[in-house]
This record gives sequence, C-alpha cells and structure tokens, in this order.
Amino acid sequence: MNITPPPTRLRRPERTDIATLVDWMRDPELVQMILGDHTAAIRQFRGQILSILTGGYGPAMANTGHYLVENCDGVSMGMAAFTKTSWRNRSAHYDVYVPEHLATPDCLRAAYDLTIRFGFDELNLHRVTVRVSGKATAVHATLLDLGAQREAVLRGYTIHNDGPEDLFVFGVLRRDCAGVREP
Amino acid sequence: MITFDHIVIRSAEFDDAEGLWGLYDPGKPRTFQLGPNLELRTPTVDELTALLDDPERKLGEFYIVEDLEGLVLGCAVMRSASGDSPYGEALFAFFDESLYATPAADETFAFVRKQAFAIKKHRKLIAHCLDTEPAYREFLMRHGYRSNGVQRELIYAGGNYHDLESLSLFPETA
Repeated sequence: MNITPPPTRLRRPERTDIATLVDWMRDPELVQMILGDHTAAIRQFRGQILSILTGGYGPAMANTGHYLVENCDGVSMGMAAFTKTSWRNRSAHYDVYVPEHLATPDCLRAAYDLTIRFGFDELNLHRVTVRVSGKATAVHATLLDLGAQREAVLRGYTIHNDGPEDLFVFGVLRRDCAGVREP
Repeated sequence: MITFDHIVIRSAEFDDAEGLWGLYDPGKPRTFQLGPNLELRTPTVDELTALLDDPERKLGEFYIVEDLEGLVLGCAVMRSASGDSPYGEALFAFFDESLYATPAADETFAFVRKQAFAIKKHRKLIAHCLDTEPAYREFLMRHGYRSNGVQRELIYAGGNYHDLESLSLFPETA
C-alpha cells in the first residue's frame, strides 16, 4: 500500500539532488522527456542533467525550466519541465515525469495540478500545452479532469520499437483553470 | 531551376531577401512567419539576408516561386520537423492569397511533395495554419492534408490570440 503523501510544491533542483536524478536516469520515460528520444546516448543525457542542475528559469528571459516535484515530507516525486516558453505568446509546453512506482492517480493529479498552476500563477502564462503519449491514458483522464481540452492528435509522431506512436496534445487556457490568480 | 507550365522554382539566394521581406507583414499574421518558439517574427532585410546566406540553412530548404516572366509570386520552404525526425514540415507563402487556388500553387505543391516523399523519403509531411488563413487551409486540404486538431489561442499577434491548426499528409494519401 502506497502511503506517500502526494506532491505539494515545485522547486529548482540543487546539486544535492543529483543522486535522485541519476537514479531516475535509468527510466526511458525520463530520457524521452528530457531529450525527446528514449534511445539517446547516456553521455548526452548526463550533460543535460548537469545543465538542469545549474539552469532553471535563472536568466530573466530563458525559455526552458526544470523543477522537482516534491511532497510535504521533502520526498522528490518527479520532475516538471517547461519548454518552448514564449513570453510573447505567454504560452509554454510542459512535460511531467513521475516514476512508475509513485504514479498513483492522486500523485499524478497533484503533480499536474501543481505544474499547471505554476504556469499561470508564477509564470503568468495565458496557455499551457501538454503533449502526452497516446498510451498514457491515466494522464489523459487526469488532464481532462483538471480542465484541459484534448485539442489535437498527431498521428505517428514518434517511432518506438513497436512502430509509430500517436501524440495527444492537450491545451489549458487560464480561464479553463479554476482558482488561478488574476493576471 | 525547374520550369513548370505556369511557374519556375529555384533555390533562394541571399539577394532574394528584399523581395521576400514583404511576406513578413506584422499586421497580417501567417504561419510562414512563425519561428521555433511559435512566435511571429519580423526580421529586418539584413537579418533575412543573413538567414538566406546561412550555410546551415536554419530556415530549411527555401525555394522561390516565380511566374514565367520572372516575377516573384512567393516561396515554399521545407524542413525537418525536429532533428532527425522521419517527417518534414512544408510551408507555402504567396504574396497574393488568391494564388492558393491557382495552378501555380498546385505546381508548387507537386514540387514539394516530390521532394518530401520521393527524394527525402519522409514518412509524413506536416503543416500549420492560423485562423487568419482560410485560403491557405483550403489549399492544404485540397491537396490531401487532414486536420489533427486546433490548438486554441496559441499565437499572440496584433493584440489578439489566434488558434493554430495542425495538419498532416501521409505519402499514401498525397
């Protein structure tokens, strides 16, 4: 029985988080999220992890940021990545990674809810786009429950061992998300 | 340079920048102007010259479409969608939107389709379309593109948010 409390906050990764990140590096889902290709070389992935540890939304107009998703006990439960952030469009793409053993419906919902609200309340975005594999049906249900709309299905977007895989595009506008701060 | 019945298609050169600059009209948002972050860009003539002269071809493969008298009608661009992905992205931009319904546009499309599927062996060709481009959307649909869906209020231009539609074309339906 999983009694780990669900995530409650996002924070920037520190050097002390490297053991957690290295542990997660074995998971192809995280490699896919960071590099967009689960077959990418491990050396390239290590370089990317190091840049995450020293990056985040540090520079005022950076368009990429990575955050650890943490619960009230300080347990790291996953990672959220904002990419393709456009300050002109006030929009961003984001990916959320939760290790499989922690991915209960409550944890997934809390992780996505935190990330969506961070996009609106902290980054003052107008829109957040989430791209999810067609196979991740639990995530689809979570996003719809949080007010996102399924806007597009990109047929055969990625190639995996078992052939082409669809990618589902979900969009959340600020007005879709109840209780976010006024701009 | 390839001559068709109604048009001539050739690779763009750096000195085409001044002629093409008119396509980057900030008051008339079109997909052609979208940069990597999906922001509308309006480069200066000098910046456009540098982009067209770039040996790495960051803009993609850039073709000029002229009529048989040498008047530039527009352009077509083809690029890999991302890195080594097995599909490409095609963009078509004409100065006069009514040209999308003419044989000149059809011949431009036939050229790009051959490049994408017969030469580069792409598995899929994608395109995007703003809600301000009904003639462009009609042109793409007429040539076999199918809609993947519409992303709401994704692009900000001219004080308004615009929807962006994604479309795709597979070789078997092209």
